[in-house]
Amino acid sequence: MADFNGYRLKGYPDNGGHNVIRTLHKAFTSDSSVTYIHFKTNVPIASYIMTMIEAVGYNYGMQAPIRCAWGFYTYGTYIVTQSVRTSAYGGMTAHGIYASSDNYVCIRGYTSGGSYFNGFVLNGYQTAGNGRGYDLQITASSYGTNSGNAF
Amino acid sequence: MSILQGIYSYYDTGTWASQLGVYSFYTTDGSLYYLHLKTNVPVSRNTMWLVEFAGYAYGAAQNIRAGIVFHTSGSVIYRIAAQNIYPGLTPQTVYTSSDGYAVIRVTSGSFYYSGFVINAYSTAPYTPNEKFRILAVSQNSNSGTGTY
Repeated sequence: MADFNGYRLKGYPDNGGHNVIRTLHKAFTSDSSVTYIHFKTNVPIASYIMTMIEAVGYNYGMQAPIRCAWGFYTYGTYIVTQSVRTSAYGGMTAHGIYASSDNYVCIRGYTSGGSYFNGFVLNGYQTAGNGRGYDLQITASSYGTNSGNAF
Repeated sequence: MSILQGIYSYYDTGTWASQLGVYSFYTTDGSLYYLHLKTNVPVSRNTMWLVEFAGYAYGAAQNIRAGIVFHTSGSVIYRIAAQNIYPGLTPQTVYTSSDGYAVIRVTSGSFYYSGFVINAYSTAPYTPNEKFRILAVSQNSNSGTGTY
Protein backbone atom coordinates (compact mmCIF):
# COMPACT_ATOMS: atom_id res chain seq x y z
CA MET A 1 0.00 0.00 0.00
CA ALA A 2 1.04 3.58 -0.41
CA ASP A 3 -0.12 7.03 0.53
CA PHE A 4 1.02 10.28 -0.91
CA ASN A 5 0.79 13.62 0.79
CA GLY A 6 2.17 16.98 -0.08
CA TYR A 7 0.74 17.55 -3.52
CA ARG A 8 -2.44 19.30 -2.57
CA LEU A 9 -4.13 21.64 -4.98
CA LYS A 10 -5.80 24.25 -2.87
CA GLY A 11 -8.38 26.11 -4.88
CA TYR A 12 -10.53 29.15 -4.48
CA PRO A 13 -9.14 31.00 -1.47
CA ASP A 14 -11.92 31.91 0.86
CA ASN A 15 -11.32 34.21 3.80
CA GLY A 16 -7.76 33.01 4.11
CA GLY A 17 -8.63 29.35 3.90
CA HIS A 18 -9.58 26.99 1.15
CA ASN A 19 -13.03 25.72 0.33
CA VAL A 20 -11.91 23.32 -2.37
CA ILE A 21 -8.84 21.16 -1.89
CA ARG A 22 -8.12 18.82 -4.75
CA THR A 23 -5.79 15.89 -4.29
CA LEU A 24 -6.18 16.26 -0.58
CA HIS A 25 -4.72 12.79 -0.40
CA LYS A 26 -3.69 10.08 -2.82
CA ALA A 27 -4.19 6.46 -1.87
CA PHE A 28 -3.06 3.25 -3.49
CA THR A 29 -2.88 -0.41 -2.57
CA SER A 30 -2.23 -3.55 -4.54
CA ASP A 31 -3.38 -5.80 -1.69
CA SER A 32 -6.37 -7.80 -2.89
CA SER A 33 -7.32 -8.72 0.68
CA VAL A 34 -8.08 -5.11 1.61
CA THR A 35 -11.82 -4.49 1.76
CA TYR A 36 -12.03 -1.56 4.17
CA ILE A 37 -9.97 1.62 3.90
CA HIS A 38 -10.09 4.15 6.72
CA PHE A 39 -8.95 7.77 6.70
CA LYS A 40 -8.62 9.96 9.77
CA THR A 41 -9.14 13.68 9.25
CA ASN A 42 -8.01 16.67 11.26
CA VAL A 43 -11.64 17.71 11.83
CA PRO A 44 -12.31 17.55 15.58
CA ILE A 45 -15.74 16.53 16.80
CA ALA A 46 -15.52 19.58 19.03
CA SER A 47 -16.16 21.92 16.10
CA TYR A 48 -18.91 23.13 13.80
CA ILE A 49 -17.55 22.16 10.41
CA MET A 50 -19.44 21.00 7.31
CA THR A 51 -17.31 19.00 4.91
CA MET A 52 -17.66 16.82 1.85
CA ILE A 53 -14.84 14.47 0.92
CA GLU A 54 -14.98 12.56 -2.35
CA ALA A 55 -12.85 9.70 -3.66
CA VAL A 56 -12.14 9.52 -7.39
CA GLY A 57 -10.16 6.73 -9.02
CA TYR A 58 -9.94 3.22 -10.41
CA ASN A 59 -10.24 -0.13 -8.65
CA TYR A 60 -8.54 -2.38 -11.15
CA GLY A 61 -9.32 -5.56 -9.24
CA MET A 62 -13.03 -4.78 -9.26
CA GLN A 63 -12.82 -3.47 -12.83
CA ALA A 64 -14.73 -0.33 -11.95
CA PRO A 65 -14.20 3.41 -11.60
CA ILE A 66 -14.51 5.09 -8.22
CA ARG A 67 -16.52 8.15 -7.34
CA CYS A 68 -18.06 8.23 -3.90
CA ALA A 69 -18.48 10.86 -1.19
CA TRP A 70 -18.86 11.38 2.51
CA GLY A 71 -20.64 14.50 3.76
CA PHE A 72 -20.55 15.27 7.47
CA TYR A 73 -21.19 18.00 10.00
CA THR A 74 -19.59 18.14 13.39
CA TYR A 75 -21.71 19.72 16.06
CA GLY A 76 -19.66 20.36 19.16
CA THR A 77 -19.87 16.92 20.68
CA TYR A 78 -21.04 14.61 17.89
CA ILE A 79 -21.43 14.08 14.13
CA VAL A 80 -24.97 15.01 13.15
CA THR A 81 -27.31 12.40 11.70
CA GLN A 82 -27.72 14.41 8.49
CA SER A 83 -24.25 13.25 7.51
CA VAL A 84 -24.52 11.36 4.24
CA ARG A 85 -22.71 8.90 2.05
CA THR A 86 -23.16 8.61 -1.72
CA SER A 87 -21.57 6.14 -4.13
CA ALA A 88 -21.85 6.84 -7.86
CA TYR A 89 -19.46 4.35 -9.47
CA GLY A 90 -18.96 0.81 -8.24
CA GLY A 91 -15.27 0.62 -7.46
CA MET A 92 -15.64 1.70 -3.83
CA THR A 93 -18.52 2.50 -1.50
CA ALA A 94 -18.59 5.35 1.00
CA HIS A 95 -19.23 2.95 3.86
CA GLY A 96 -19.08 4.91 7.08
CA ILE A 97 -18.34 8.03 9.09
CA TYR A 98 -17.27 7.82 12.72
CA ALA A 99 -15.34 9.52 15.49
CA SER A 100 -11.88 8.30 16.42
CA SER A 101 -11.05 7.47 20.01
CA ASP A 102 -9.43 10.89 20.30
CA ASN A 103 -12.47 12.56 18.75
CA TYR A 104 -11.62 13.33 15.16
CA VAL A 105 -13.81 12.56 12.16
CA CYS A 106 -12.89 9.41 10.26
CA ILE A 107 -14.30 8.02 7.02
CA ARG A 108 -14.42 4.41 5.86
CA GLY A 109 -14.57 3.07 2.31
CA TYR A 110 -15.59 -0.44 1.31
CA THR A 111 -14.44 -2.44 -1.69
CA SER A 112 -16.59 -5.55 -1.95
CA GLY A 113 -14.21 -7.20 -4.40
CA GLY A 114 -10.98 -6.26 -2.63
CA SER A 115 -8.38 -3.68 -3.57
CA TYR A 116 -6.05 -5.30 -6.06
CA PHE A 117 -4.41 -2.25 -7.61
CA ASN A 118 -6.88 0.21 -6.18
CA GLY A 119 -5.87 3.86 -6.54
CA PHE A 120 -7.76 7.06 -5.93
CA VAL A 121 -7.48 10.65 -4.83
CA LEU A 122 -9.48 12.37 -2.12
CA ASN A 123 -10.83 15.86 -2.73
CA GLY A 124 -12.20 18.05 0.05
CA TYR A 125 -14.95 20.65 -0.13
CA GLN A 126 -15.57 23.09 2.70
CA THR A 127 -18.51 24.65 0.93
CA ALA A 128 -21.63 24.17 2.98
CA GLY A 129 -21.40 27.05 5.42
CA ASN A 130 -19.92 26.33 8.80
CA GLY A 131 -16.25 25.60 8.59
CA ARG A 132 -15.64 27.33 5.28
CA GLY A 133 -11.92 27.60 4.71
CA TYR A 134 -10.88 25.02 7.30
CA ASP A 135 -7.55 23.53 6.25
CA LEU A 136 -8.74 19.96 5.89
CA GLN A 137 -6.08 17.25 6.09
CA ILE A 138 -5.87 13.48 6.18
CA THR A 139 -3.72 12.60 9.18
CA ALA A 140 -3.72 8.80 9.02
CA SER A 141 -4.94 5.88 6.95
CA SER A 142 -5.58 2.20 7.55
CA TYR A 143 -6.00 -0.57 4.99
CA GLY A 144 -7.48 -3.92 6.01
CA THR A 145 -10.66 -5.81 6.77
CA ASN A 146 -11.95 -3.81 9.72
CA SER A 147 -15.58 -2.88 9.08
CA GLY A 148 -15.77 -0.95 12.35
CA ASN A 149 -13.59 1.81 13.71
CA ALA A 150 -9.86 1.74 12.94
CA PHE A 151 -8.87 4.85 14.86
CA MET B 1 -18.65 19.90 -37.41
CA SER B 2 -16.51 19.71 -34.32
CA ILE B 3 -14.72 22.52 -32.62
CA LEU B 4 -11.82 21.36 -30.53
CA GLN B 5 -9.64 23.11 -28.07
CA GLY B 6 -7.27 22.05 -25.38
CA ILE B 7 -7.52 23.92 -22.13
CA TYR B 8 -5.23 22.11 -19.71
CA SER B 9 -6.64 24.09 -16.89
CA TYR B 10 -5.96 22.52 -13.54
CA TYR B 11 -3.22 19.99 -13.03
CA ASP B 12 -1.67 18.43 -9.99
CA THR B 13 1.91 18.97 -11.08
CA GLY B 14 3.28 16.97 -8.17
CA THR B 15 1.93 13.53 -8.99
CA TRP B 16 -0.29 14.30 -11.98
CA ALA B 17 -2.92 12.25 -10.18
CA SER B 18 -5.64 14.79 -10.98
CA GLN B 19 -5.63 16.43 -14.38
CA LEU B 20 -8.73 18.54 -14.74
CA GLY B 21 -9.83 20.16 -17.96
CA VAL B 22 -7.43 18.11 -20.04
CA TYR B 23 -9.53 18.72 -23.12
CA SER B 24 -12.76 20.31 -24.15
CA PHE B 25 -14.99 19.27 -27.01
CA TYR B 26 -17.97 20.89 -28.62
CA THR B 27 -20.09 19.92 -31.59
CA THR B 28 -23.39 20.96 -33.15
CA ASP B 29 -23.58 17.85 -35.35
CA GLY B 30 -26.45 15.62 -34.22
CA SER B 31 -26.23 13.23 -37.17
CA LEU B 32 -23.17 11.25 -36.06
CA TYR B 33 -23.41 9.21 -32.89
CA TYR B 34 -19.84 8.19 -32.08
CA LEU B 35 -16.73 10.01 -30.95
CA HIS B 36 -13.30 8.43 -31.13
CA LEU B 37 -10.76 10.17 -28.92
CA LYS B 38 -7.16 9.24 -29.52
CA THR B 39 -5.04 9.65 -26.39
CA ASN B 40 -1.31 9.99 -25.90
CA VAL B 41 -1.25 6.79 -23.78
CA PRO B 42 0.93 4.17 -25.48
CA VAL B 43 -0.53 0.75 -24.75
CA SER B 44 3.01 -0.56 -24.41
CA ARG B 45 3.41 1.43 -21.18
CA ASN B 46 2.27 0.32 -17.73
CA THR B 47 -0.46 2.83 -16.85
CA MET B 48 -3.83 3.00 -15.10
CA TRP B 49 -6.42 5.67 -15.81
CA LEU B 50 -9.82 6.96 -14.94
CA VAL B 51 -11.02 9.33 -17.68
CA GLU B 52 -14.17 11.33 -16.91
CA PHE B 53 -16.41 13.37 -19.13
CA ALA B 54 -18.49 16.23 -17.71
CA GLY B 55 -20.75 18.54 -19.66
CA TYR B 56 -24.11 19.22 -21.27
CA ALA B 57 -25.86 17.43 -24.12
CA TYR B 58 -28.38 19.99 -25.28
CA GLY B 59 -29.78 17.81 -28.07
CA ALA B 60 -30.32 14.89 -25.76
CA ALA B 61 -31.50 17.25 -22.99
CA GLN B 62 -29.22 15.56 -20.53
CA ASN B 63 -26.25 16.32 -18.35
CA ILE B 64 -22.98 14.52 -18.90
CA ARG B 65 -20.87 12.83 -16.27
CA ALA B 66 -19.43 9.44 -17.04
CA GLY B 67 -16.15 7.65 -16.52
CA ILE B 68 -14.13 4.94 -18.20
CA VAL B 69 -11.17 3.10 -16.66
CA PHE B 70 -8.45 1.06 -18.27
CA HIS B 71 -5.01 -0.39 -17.67
CA THR B 72 -2.34 -0.61 -20.34
CA SER B 73 0.61 -2.96 -20.13
CA GLY B 74 2.66 -4.88 -22.66
CA SER B 75 0.62 -3.58 -25.60
CA VAL B 76 -2.61 -4.93 -24.13
CA ILE B 77 -5.52 -2.94 -22.66
CA TYR B 78 -6.90 -4.65 -19.57
CA ARG B 79 -10.09 -4.39 -17.50
CA ILE B 80 -11.95 -1.67 -19.33
CA ALA B 81 -15.07 -0.55 -17.50
CA ALA B 82 -17.41 2.40 -17.93
CA GLN B 83 -20.16 3.87 -15.76
CA ASN B 84 -22.53 6.79 -16.03
CA ILE B 85 -23.66 9.18 -13.34
CA TYR B 86 -25.54 11.38 -15.84
CA PRO B 87 -26.66 9.90 -19.17
CA GLY B 88 -25.77 12.54 -21.76
CA LEU B 89 -22.74 10.63 -23.02
CA THR B 90 -21.78 6.97 -22.65
CA PRO B 91 -18.18 5.75 -22.82
CA GLN B 92 -18.11 2.40 -24.59
CA THR B 93 -14.61 0.99 -24.88
CA VAL B 94 -10.92 1.61 -25.33
CA TYR B 95 -9.01 0.16 -28.27
CA THR B 96 -5.54 0.41 -29.74
CA SER B 97 -4.80 2.70 -32.67
CA SER B 98 -2.78 1.47 -35.60
CA ASP B 99 0.26 3.24 -34.18
CA GLY B 100 -0.15 1.86 -30.68
CA TYR B 101 -2.07 4.44 -28.63
CA ALA B 102 -5.23 4.05 -26.56
CA VAL B 103 -8.37 5.34 -28.25
CA ILE B 104 -11.60 5.93 -26.29
CA ARG B 105 -14.93 5.53 -28.05
CA VAL B 106 -18.03 7.22 -26.64
CA THR B 107 -21.58 7.57 -27.91
CA SER B 108 -24.64 9.70 -27.36
CA GLY B 109 -28.26 9.60 -28.44
CA SER B 110 -27.59 13.04 -29.88
CA PHE B 111 -24.48 15.18 -30.01
CA TYR B 112 -26.51 18.15 -31.25
CA TYR B 113 -24.98 21.07 -29.37
CA SER B 114 -23.04 18.86 -26.99
CA GLY B 115 -19.98 19.92 -25.08
CA PHE B 116 -17.85 18.43 -22.37
CA VAL B 117 -14.51 18.60 -20.64
CA ILE B 118 -12.29 15.66 -19.88
CA ASN B 119 -10.70 15.05 -16.51
CA ALA B 120 -8.04 12.38 -16.19
CA TYR B 121 -6.80 10.61 -13.08
CA SER B 122 -3.59 8.59 -13.05
CA THR B 123 -4.43 6.08 -10.34
CA ALA B 124 -1.27 4.02 -10.01
CA PRO B 125 1.87 5.30 -8.27
CA TYR B 126 4.22 3.87 -10.86
CA THR B 127 3.15 6.34 -13.55
CA PRO B 128 4.36 9.66 -12.15
CA ASN B 129 4.52 12.64 -14.44
CA GLU B 130 2.25 10.91 -16.91
CA LYS B 131 0.51 13.77 -18.68
CA PHE B 132 -2.75 12.76 -20.27
CA ARG B 133 -3.61 14.40 -23.57
CA ILE B 134 -6.09 13.99 -26.37
CA LEU B 135 -4.22 13.93 -29.67
CA ALA B 136 -7.16 13.76 -32.07
CA VAL B 137 -10.93 13.38 -32.10
CA SER B 138 -13.23 12.10 -34.82
CA GLN B 139 -17.02 12.27 -34.76
CA ASN B 140 -18.36 9.63 -37.10
CA SER B 141 -20.69 6.63 -37.49
CA ASN B 142 -18.10 3.99 -36.66
CA SER B 143 -19.37 1.86 -33.78
CA GLY B 144 -16.27 -0.32 -33.88
CA THR B 145 -12.54 0.25 -33.91
CA GLY B 146 -10.10 1.45 -36.53
CA THR B 147 -10.88 5.14 -36.73
CA TYR B 148 -7.27 5.67 -35.70
